[in-house]
Amino acid sequence: MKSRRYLEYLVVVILAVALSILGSLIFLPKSGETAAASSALHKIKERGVLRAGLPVSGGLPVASRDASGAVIGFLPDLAAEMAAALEVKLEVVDTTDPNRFPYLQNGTIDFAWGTITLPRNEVVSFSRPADLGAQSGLVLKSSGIADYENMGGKKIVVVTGSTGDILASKQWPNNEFVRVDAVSTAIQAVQSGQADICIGDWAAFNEAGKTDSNLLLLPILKYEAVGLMLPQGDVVWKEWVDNFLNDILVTGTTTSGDFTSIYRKWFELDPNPELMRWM
Amino acid sequence: MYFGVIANNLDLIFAGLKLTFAILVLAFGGGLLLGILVAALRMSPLRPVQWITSAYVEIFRNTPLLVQLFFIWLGLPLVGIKIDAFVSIVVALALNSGAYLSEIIRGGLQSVPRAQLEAASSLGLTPWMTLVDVVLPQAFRAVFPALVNQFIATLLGSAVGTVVGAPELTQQIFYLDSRVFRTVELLLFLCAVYAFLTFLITQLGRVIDRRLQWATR
Repeated sequence: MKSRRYLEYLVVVILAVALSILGSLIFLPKSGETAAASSALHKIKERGVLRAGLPVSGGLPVASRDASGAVIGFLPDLAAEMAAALEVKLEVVDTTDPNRFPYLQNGTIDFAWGTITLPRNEVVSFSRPADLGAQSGLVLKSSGIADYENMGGKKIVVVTGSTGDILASKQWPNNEFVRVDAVSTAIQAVQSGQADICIGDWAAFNEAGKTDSNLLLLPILKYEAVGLMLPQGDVVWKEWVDNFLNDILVTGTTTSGDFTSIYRKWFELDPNPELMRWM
Repeated sequence: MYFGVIANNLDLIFAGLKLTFAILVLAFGGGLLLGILVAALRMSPLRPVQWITSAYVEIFRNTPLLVQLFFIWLGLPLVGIKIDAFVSIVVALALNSGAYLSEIIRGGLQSVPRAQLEAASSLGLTPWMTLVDVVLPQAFRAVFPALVNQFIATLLGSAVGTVVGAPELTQQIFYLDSRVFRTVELLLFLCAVYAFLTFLITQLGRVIDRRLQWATR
């Protein structure tokens, strides 16, 4: 009786693990498929929907929701241009920093947005740079912190796996870290005093500073190349995305060529001229 | 699939596991004390006491643990109470499981037939002796399986601590994933660890339960 119960339990565990592995393997490309047929580009055209992994909970100017619940921001506008160029519908999938990678690997999304780093490049592909992002610190004005000197003993909050996390972990390895899932939570940790300083995306912090006068945005720590994250090794899709970016950034041959005006609308500044040098 | 990522980061994983155990023991212990207190107070004849304890139970049973945790971690500092992520998840889980445990314990106390209380009284037992020698042993046996279930729920609930950065097991796995991008392998491992722990708790619970049932024969 007792051994039978153990056996039943073992069977259930083995079945659960086998199903999990099977589920993950289903999303892997089948051998024998041609590069074009297995490409995300082919699948997008076939299903008639472009699935964009956008950080909607991250806030403006990158992406957010308006009062009616519609997704707005720089990335939704850029994604809408992509969908129009592909002649398909756009579906926005709210994506956090950590889950961009599994979503791309299992085909939940066709692209995400992120800083180009070499470790990330080992698991996803990147388009050509599409923006020059920046990392900076955000503190409460009352904290007395005005720069990155004397960081000893300061509690740092970051979004797990973000480039702010990677940068701060490298720069201040002995500090206490609080790692959360979303930029909004990280900012609130500073506002509530749960952390002394938040290290992360300058644009999101700049926007937060507009709504809370108690916050102080520190000088930029580091610039970084940002691009579209794509399923790894999908050369057909990457080539299309690179050419789309070249078109919308410079030539405007088949797109609106309105990258600069979209950028100005949301960031209230011009795209960094360095972007053009990377063409 | 590359499971070497787990073998290479055992220190990190054990540190997370240690914190998960600490959260489990403290939160369940706190929840049990709270549950006993609230169960006793809910049976009080005083109406205001019943209202307050009922409100506590309904609020914590009818709102998500995640929201309760955010309220404690981000909301309480606004009124000058600042507690870190670890204490926040312990307090949130203790309050949450306390609400469930109070109902489990109240059910157990009420399962003892009234005739036994009358019999104890007629035998000259004091109310305290009746509680300790007659009511509690029977109530404990009756609710033991439900207590084990709640213990497991508390273990699994500790994973919610990851959203406020408590470096328990799930948070450590997510942290590792953000560095090595081996999501499927790490999540499979995480599920296996939780399944193994709940299996152990269930088996231990069965052994204790069997002994408790034997003791009554």
